[in-house]
Amino acid sequence: MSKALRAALLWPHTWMGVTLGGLLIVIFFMGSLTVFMPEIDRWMMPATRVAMPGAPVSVDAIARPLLEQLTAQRAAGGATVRDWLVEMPDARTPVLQLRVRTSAGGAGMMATADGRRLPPPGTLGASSFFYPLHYCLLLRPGFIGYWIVALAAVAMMAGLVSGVVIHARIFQDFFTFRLRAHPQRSLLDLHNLMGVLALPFHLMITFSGIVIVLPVVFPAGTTLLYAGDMNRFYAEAVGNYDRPAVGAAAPLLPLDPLVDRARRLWAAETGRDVAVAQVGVVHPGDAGAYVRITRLNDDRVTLHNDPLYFDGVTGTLLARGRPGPVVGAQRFIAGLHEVHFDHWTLRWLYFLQGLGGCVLIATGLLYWLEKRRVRHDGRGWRAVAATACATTTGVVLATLAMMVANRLLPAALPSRELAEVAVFFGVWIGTAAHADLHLRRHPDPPWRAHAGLVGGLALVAMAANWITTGDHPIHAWAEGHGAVLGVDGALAVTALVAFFAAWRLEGGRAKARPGGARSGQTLAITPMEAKNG
Amino acid sequence: MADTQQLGVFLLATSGMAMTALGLDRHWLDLVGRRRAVSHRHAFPLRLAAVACWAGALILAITNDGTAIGVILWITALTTGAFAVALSLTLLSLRKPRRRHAAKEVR
Repeated sequence: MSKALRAALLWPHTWMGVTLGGLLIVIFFMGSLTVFMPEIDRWMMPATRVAMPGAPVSVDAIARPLLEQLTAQRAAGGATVRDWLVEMPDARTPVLQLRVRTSAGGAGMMATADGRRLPPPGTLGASSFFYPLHYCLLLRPGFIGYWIVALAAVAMMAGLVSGVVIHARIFQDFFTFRLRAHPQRSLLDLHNLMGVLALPFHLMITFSGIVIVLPVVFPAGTTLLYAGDMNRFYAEAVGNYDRPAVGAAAPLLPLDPLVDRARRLWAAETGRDVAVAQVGVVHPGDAGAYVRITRLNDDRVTLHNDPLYFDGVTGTLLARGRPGPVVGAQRFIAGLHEVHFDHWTLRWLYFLQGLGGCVLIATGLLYWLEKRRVRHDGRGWRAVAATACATTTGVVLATLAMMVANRLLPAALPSRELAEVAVFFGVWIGTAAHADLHLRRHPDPPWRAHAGLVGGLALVAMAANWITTGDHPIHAWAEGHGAVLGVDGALAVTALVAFFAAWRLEGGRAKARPGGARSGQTLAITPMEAKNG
Repeated sequence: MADTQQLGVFLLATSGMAMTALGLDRHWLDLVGRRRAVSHRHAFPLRLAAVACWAGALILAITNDGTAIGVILWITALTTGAFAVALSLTLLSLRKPRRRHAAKEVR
């Protein structure tokens, strides 16, 4: 490729990275955590660390009494029930999640497979905090967060493509990592290595991420054909069935036979035993009641959950949600992004490659910081340096602090889940402020202090879990709490790596400072290792 | 059985990457030495063997996990293999510090 093209693409690559790199690191890090969302949820919600149900759970015997209980609480003043939803337990989430919506508002709860109602978890957990932070930065009003994340993703795409064009020796340097070379050289080598070797993953994950939110950020079709009514568009796209309530009371059929019928239907089509993901009842108790049953996609890539609609009073199969070709492709691409299929090797490698994406962006930022140190040693440079620090070690620190708070805040604290969120953002802002203050006096961001803190907090989180829940490794192993073992193991690895990085940074500084040379070699290691949580 | 097959996918992908690395001047010098210079006589069979390894890995992955998940596993295994080779080469270069000069001369 021509020299002029390379030169032309270098500055958008650089400035995209400098301006959006920090945001992208946060998105990649939270996305990596989301791969293990159910496991982190088990860790953060100790009451849900229960044994896996041996047999399929009966909806009628277990879920229905609890749903009626919830409905009675919610719709006491003559309110009408809109719908019930039961999320069935699966291999990674051993509890039922129940939700009731009425004209007077909604209510939800979790229950064990033997029908024991669990107390409110007092935490948002990974599923309601790390995950939304990943896809919309928790900014839902007006879809602002979705737009920002999609913009960052498009920039990431541009960064990947321009990066490949800029890279002059992509094949000759395919495996090259000159660790002992000049710091800038090793940083750039690591940046290239992370980008080139995991390029298929980065392209796939970025592209599929954009495709998932495409209806939100590319709303021309919805605006034109559905007058901007996103719900109507979605309903039609995935082939949802709906009908209004009749207004006359009628008894609801038992649900278990319908679930069995759905499973037989899927088994006949796929030749496999397919598990049920959700059972929903719309207008329960009304003559217009209908039942929606969806399948679990643990055996295939697509996220299309093949909903079956049964009449709630007569039991006839009313409809089947079948997406058209475009939506079918969109569901498949979304499935590529979200790895819901049961494949532990790929889950771990998605997680590691996601962290690799953080390293890719972080090394890019560090390279810029090293290169521009002399030219830009002013306010702008310091802002980028502080941002780089706050979005790498800072965000890891905030996550670990939230996990510590999750284990140590008293259960009776009012709005406990919001207190955890406050800890997360408090610590995050704290790391940014600390980095900025540190940079006023020192030439480097406080990598060593942050690495030491990451190690310390990871150990505290692990110990707090053992003390407050009694689920130390031997106990967790004996009880079969694989999720707890896994999260504790990841915390232990994080601590080890962070302490090693802190130790290397100390050594590098002692060696490098007197001679005036900078210890960039250790810098190249830090972000990679500090991200390992 | 499924685990052995999966391991096979990763081993084949990594072997293919190792052979690709050997086909590159710098790593040939690192691993084989300067006495036997790299030539097309070596490079072509190495690349052929690498492609054969990757094809084998793809077939194994698809028989193990089906087409869709198998292809994802295969691509991921190629990335993992490439990282394993790059890491090994880096560690080897730390053991023999003088090799860096050799690499420089060739360029």
